[in-house]
Amino acid sequence: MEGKALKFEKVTKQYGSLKALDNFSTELGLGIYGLLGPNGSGKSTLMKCIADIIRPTSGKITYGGEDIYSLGADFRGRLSFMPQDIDFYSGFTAVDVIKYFALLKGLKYDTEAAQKALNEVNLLSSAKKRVGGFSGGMKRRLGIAVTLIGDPEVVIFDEPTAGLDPEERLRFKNLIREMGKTSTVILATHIISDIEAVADYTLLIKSGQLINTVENDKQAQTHTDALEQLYMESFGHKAEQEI
Amino acid sequence: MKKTKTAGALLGFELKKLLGLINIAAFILLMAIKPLSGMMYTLAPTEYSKDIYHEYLDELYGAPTAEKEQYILDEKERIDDILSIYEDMILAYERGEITAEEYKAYDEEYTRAKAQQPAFDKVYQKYQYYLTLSGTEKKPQYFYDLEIIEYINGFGADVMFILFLTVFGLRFWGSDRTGGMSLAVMSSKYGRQYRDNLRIAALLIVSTVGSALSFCVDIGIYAARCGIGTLFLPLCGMEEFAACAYNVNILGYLLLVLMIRIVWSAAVCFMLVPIYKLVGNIYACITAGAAVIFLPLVLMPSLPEVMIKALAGTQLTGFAVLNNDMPLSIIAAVLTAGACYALSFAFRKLELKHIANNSA
Repeated sequence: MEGKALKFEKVTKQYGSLKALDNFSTELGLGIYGLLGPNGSGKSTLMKCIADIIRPTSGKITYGGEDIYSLGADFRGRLSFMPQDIDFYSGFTAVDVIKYFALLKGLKYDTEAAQKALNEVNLLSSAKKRVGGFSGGMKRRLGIAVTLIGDPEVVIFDEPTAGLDPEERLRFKNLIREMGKTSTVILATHIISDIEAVADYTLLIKSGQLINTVENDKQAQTHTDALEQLYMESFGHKAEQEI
Repeated sequence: MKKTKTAGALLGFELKKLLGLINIAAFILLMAIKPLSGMMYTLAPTEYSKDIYHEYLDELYGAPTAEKEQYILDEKERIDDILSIYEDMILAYERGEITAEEYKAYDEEYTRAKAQQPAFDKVYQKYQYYLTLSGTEKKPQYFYDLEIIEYINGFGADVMFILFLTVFGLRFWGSDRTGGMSLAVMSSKYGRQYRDNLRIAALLIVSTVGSALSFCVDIGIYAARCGIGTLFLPLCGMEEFAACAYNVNILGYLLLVLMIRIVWSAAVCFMLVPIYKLVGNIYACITAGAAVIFLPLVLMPSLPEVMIKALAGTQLTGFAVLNNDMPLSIIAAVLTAGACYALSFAFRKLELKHIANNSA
């Protein structure tokens, strides 16, 4: 496995009698990992555990062999997390948002560097506009630009393509492919086509348990159908389709 | 050095965020309420004629002298004499001992004296109060003080700035939670390390500048109403402020109140942090914050004295200056801020729980 591995050892998160994560164990190296599962399957809990928003009831998450919670800010400095519903400070311009998050990541971005990051997501023309006037899709793209700042080693995207038009969706997929070469990218979504297009592996999660890990063959024509079939078998209903 | 620069740059963004939340219309309304509340004070009825009271004090204006004392004593004797013979004069007129013209002349004097008496009693009360100050460091002066008292009391009850600070302070703290930014900020490298301190610092800057601005507006309205020269008159000239041991002029008193307000506004900035972390919903958070700050004001008459000396709501009114508790008040503010800062660490896990729940 190339790069440092993000390793989950029997991770369990319990809320009363409900197990949001149940003995979740796997190891993620460089590459793109699609987290696939219905609502309430434990995807969000897993992502929040990695981001140290919540901590597991039992089990261990390590990065490069070290406990991520012991690493604390050091680990968070290598992590980038784009939540599902991000609504940036309305008084900030897009450049402000990039500069602000760069500082939070311990980096110094001048306006030129911020504009370069915005250009990656086709937002350069709106660089100096206030985020309060942005559409949902523009905010999403800004979120992606924020995630790209500082070449993070671990990247988490929660439903990243929601609200993006087909052209932007394609642009995003290309960006993700590039990131997957140097980072561990975790992509949580309901949409199978998003995963089949970019993910190297698909992790199927049900009731907090990892029920299957599938290595994706992105070149195979029949791959989407196979993933759909697997989803049906695993969860008993069809996955959401790309809109 | 690098960390200091990062903190400085992040503080700039926190200030930008905070100023972006402040509603200019609300701020203008706040400033407009001030003169309106001042007008309401002026319209408040008194038991005596303000014009007559004004005339007496114009006559007496300046430091007390033997001549002024004599004038007051003579005036008291005159009014007492006129009023005391009222029934005798009626009887004398009825018995034909005085003529109709004499009675009419007396009746006019009586009517005037009757109107003068309540206002003069107020002046005489002031004279007696000044006598108690003789031999002390305080050097009172006669001046027309009614509008000044009304307006300064308005300063004391200036709850609008406190309301402004509480609501916008908590909205500022809650801006991540309502905007879904918490996850992104808290999962970043410095999102936790600097955030609390920088937000407190941003609020401290805005609250101090806000207090000073609010003070400038107050002084502007005061000067327009009472004249800027009255700011330099001694506070001890007004019996209503007799409890204040500080030998200062009106401006000095207002500056002391401003200082206490700034100190307690700073304490409030710290108080908002554990409230935000403890309460999940931002609207419940604002309600809780307002209750903590304003309930002491509402309950002030029934609160034990020791609590009055230590509660933000009462201290923000300048209560400490009038009651000579400034050092105690400052110590209470520092202790309150310290306790709240410690609580903000204790409640960090609760905050993360709220963030996780809000984004579920």
